[in-house]
Amino acid sequence: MKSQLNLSTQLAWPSQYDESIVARVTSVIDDIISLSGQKIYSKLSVDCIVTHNSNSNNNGSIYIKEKLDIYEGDILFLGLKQARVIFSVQSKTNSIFATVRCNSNCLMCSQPPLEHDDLDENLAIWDTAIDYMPENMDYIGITGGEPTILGIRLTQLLNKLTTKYPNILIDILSNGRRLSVQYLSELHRIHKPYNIKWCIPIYSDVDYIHDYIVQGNNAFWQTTRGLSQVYSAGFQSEIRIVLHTLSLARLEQLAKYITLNYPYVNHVALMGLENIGYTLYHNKLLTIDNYEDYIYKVSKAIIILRNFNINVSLYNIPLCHVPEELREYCRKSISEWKNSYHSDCHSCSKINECAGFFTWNLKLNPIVYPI
Amino acid sequence: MVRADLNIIRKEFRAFKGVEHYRGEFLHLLPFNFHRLKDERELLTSITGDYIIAEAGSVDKIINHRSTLDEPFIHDLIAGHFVSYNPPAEQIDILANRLRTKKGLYEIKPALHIIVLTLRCDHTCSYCQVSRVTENKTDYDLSKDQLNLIIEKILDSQESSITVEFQGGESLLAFDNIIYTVEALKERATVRNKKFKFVTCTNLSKITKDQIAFLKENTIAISSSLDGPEFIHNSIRHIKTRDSHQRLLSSLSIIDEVWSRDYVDVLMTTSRLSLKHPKEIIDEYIRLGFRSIFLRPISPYGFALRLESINYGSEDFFEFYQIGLEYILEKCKHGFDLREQYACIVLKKILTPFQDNYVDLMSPSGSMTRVVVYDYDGNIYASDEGRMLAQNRDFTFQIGNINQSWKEIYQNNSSRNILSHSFTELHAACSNCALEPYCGSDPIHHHATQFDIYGNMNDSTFCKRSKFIIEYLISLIEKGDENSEILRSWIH
Repeated sequence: MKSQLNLSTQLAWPSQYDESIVARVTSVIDDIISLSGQKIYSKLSVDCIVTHNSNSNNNGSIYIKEKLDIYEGDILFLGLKQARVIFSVQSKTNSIFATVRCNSNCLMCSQPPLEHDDLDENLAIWDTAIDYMPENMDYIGITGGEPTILGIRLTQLLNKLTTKYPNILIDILSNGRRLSVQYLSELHRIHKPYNIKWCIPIYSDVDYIHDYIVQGNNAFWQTTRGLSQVYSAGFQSEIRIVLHTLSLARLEQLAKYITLNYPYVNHVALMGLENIGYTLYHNKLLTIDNYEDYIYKVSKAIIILRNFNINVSLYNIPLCHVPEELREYCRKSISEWKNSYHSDCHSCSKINECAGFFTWNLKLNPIVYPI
Repeated sequence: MVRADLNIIRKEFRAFKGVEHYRGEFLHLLPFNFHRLKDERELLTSITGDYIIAEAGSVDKIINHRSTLDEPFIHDLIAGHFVSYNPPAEQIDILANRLRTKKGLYEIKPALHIIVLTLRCDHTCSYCQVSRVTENKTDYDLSKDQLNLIIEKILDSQESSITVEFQGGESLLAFDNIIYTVEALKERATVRNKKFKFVTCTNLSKITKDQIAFLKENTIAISSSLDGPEFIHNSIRHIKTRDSHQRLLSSLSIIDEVWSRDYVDVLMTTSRLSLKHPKEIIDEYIRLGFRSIFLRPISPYGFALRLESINYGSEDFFEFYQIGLEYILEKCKHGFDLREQYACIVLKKILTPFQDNYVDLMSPSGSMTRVVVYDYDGNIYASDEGRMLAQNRDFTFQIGNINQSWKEIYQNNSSRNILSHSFTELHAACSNCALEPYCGSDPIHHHATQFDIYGNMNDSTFCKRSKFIIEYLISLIEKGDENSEILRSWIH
């Protein structure tokens, strides 16, 4: 979820509405000082559609109180008093937020799930939003919650995207469990599997430890079957490993397990822990305090995977936190809206290539070593 | 949703369960084999071919006293598919995947078609059982009519990616037939939906620039022989002029000049004399710019067995192999890029879920399932060794002739006999052997050496050699030193 806008008075609002409106910004006028006695910073002109009534094409204006980076072409989701930017033309890492529901409940979830039925609502929002997206786009992510809970709605969105953008790459962040049974038949209705990469986490080579980390009975074997199903159906696949005490314990063995049991994956991402959501509650359980051991195990795992010609990346880890020989694996992986740098980072020559920090990880007072 | 409701739901979600909840009560056994190593430790291999080396007594504990196993060891066993807290049925799909990954390409679909164009040769090598020094083309060459039938057979075979290998004798003595076959197959490749690769086997004693030009134009790789430095090479490669080695070298330099060494592969035949000179042989390979060497023992068939110069015991070969491999690793440490092929084949089986299509070390055996040989007289054999046996009037591995359809060939008794003895999984001794995932079946070897196609592994030189090499390589990669790292990098 991206920046919330606090709305001021709304003028020329399309008729009656009480729920979902998706709007595309057609122009932005900044520096409006005051309107009807309120302080206003920007006036946005928008085209909008009330999603439960797709015939309702309208246009109108929104006045917002803060100065925000909003550009022509951005897509907003509007409520009565608030709006959210759900697609930003400036961003290279836009995501479709599929649902807040999830069938796992990982100990380190950064965006804890909710049992709230938002499936039809989200389909309606994104179905409209895709129409509003720009002509050319080469990447979009799909995240949640667990996107496959959308079921057939997910298939619709994927097919709509690949029809509009034949060369797009779509990353789906899924735990893969439902791919083994519930979503299996849908997999074969997706038109362009090769444009789609399933990014699926495996946290241990020992089934029950993985199950414990994701808090799901039999999750390991469901995910394993899911991975082989997406491979057989011609999709790209990626294994994601969030690094914390529990996954680090057998990281080398997990790397070896991947080379033997999932040799077909296109990529393995080792990911720094995000200090938000459940992680805050499981601080003691998850936080790695032996830095040397951490770097040693990560290096070993990378060597094992590299020897096997599997692509490896390190996500969410600042360059200065890893030894020089591992820096080539680091990626600038944090979405703009939650990405920040330490004040000392500004004297670093590598700041433009560096992932930096999750904004909330800065609360842990990390030390940086400008390069 | 009202915020208060949300908070209640959030709290419910935060009722996390401990690791015990997910562990399961009972540790089930999955099928596995075991083997005592020389140092008393135990080698365990699972149904997927994963291995673990454990201290003495571990197998007994796993089978009879699981509650006494420590946790890290249980974790290793779970990850290697030896035991499981889940009912084993949960894992069937992944186990099936692993099996398919290993065995998926083993259909009865020959991908290597060897054509013996002629038996004529200018060499009379001491170990060779088939070649003839003669000018007589009619008795020892395939005719155009026979070649046409062979071309049809190749096009009719089910495999779509096919390697056609021209053998002899000396294949270049029948160069017009190489041209004829390559052009005929290329012309019809697209229509018949086939992709061809070509290899020609030659001693390179007198290749011409025109011949090289044709090979280059049609990307026909060259497979030749190099047994080591001159005194070793010439001792078994007999030619009237006694300069086999020099001729090879001058041909190589012409190839380097007008084409590229990348298309030349050389094989080594180990003679009794070679056994004493592993380092010299390897140095010669390095000196001549080769990056791969295959330290392989000679096939002990037919009159090869009776020849002093090439008859030697397994132990002699082991010593040769060990010194040779250690020398190669030493060279690698000093920056040379050289690999030993036998080790590469076995390491790929040990360290990866895949295996190469190396016909002499797979199950089912590659003879007939992946290779067929069209002999100079139109008979078809299950493998190159099969036609050697036929030279000694043993036709066990003749599976048909070029006038028969593939269906007739594969349904006859000879083929059935070979195929039914081509599985380690079906052999009483092999199916219980811990090294089976890394080994293979060689019915021809057992037929030729024990006069029993089934084979008695207690007394098999094939079994002895495979076990030695596999155990030796496992011991090297387990050391965790620089040698291990080099060997582990050979899997690609």
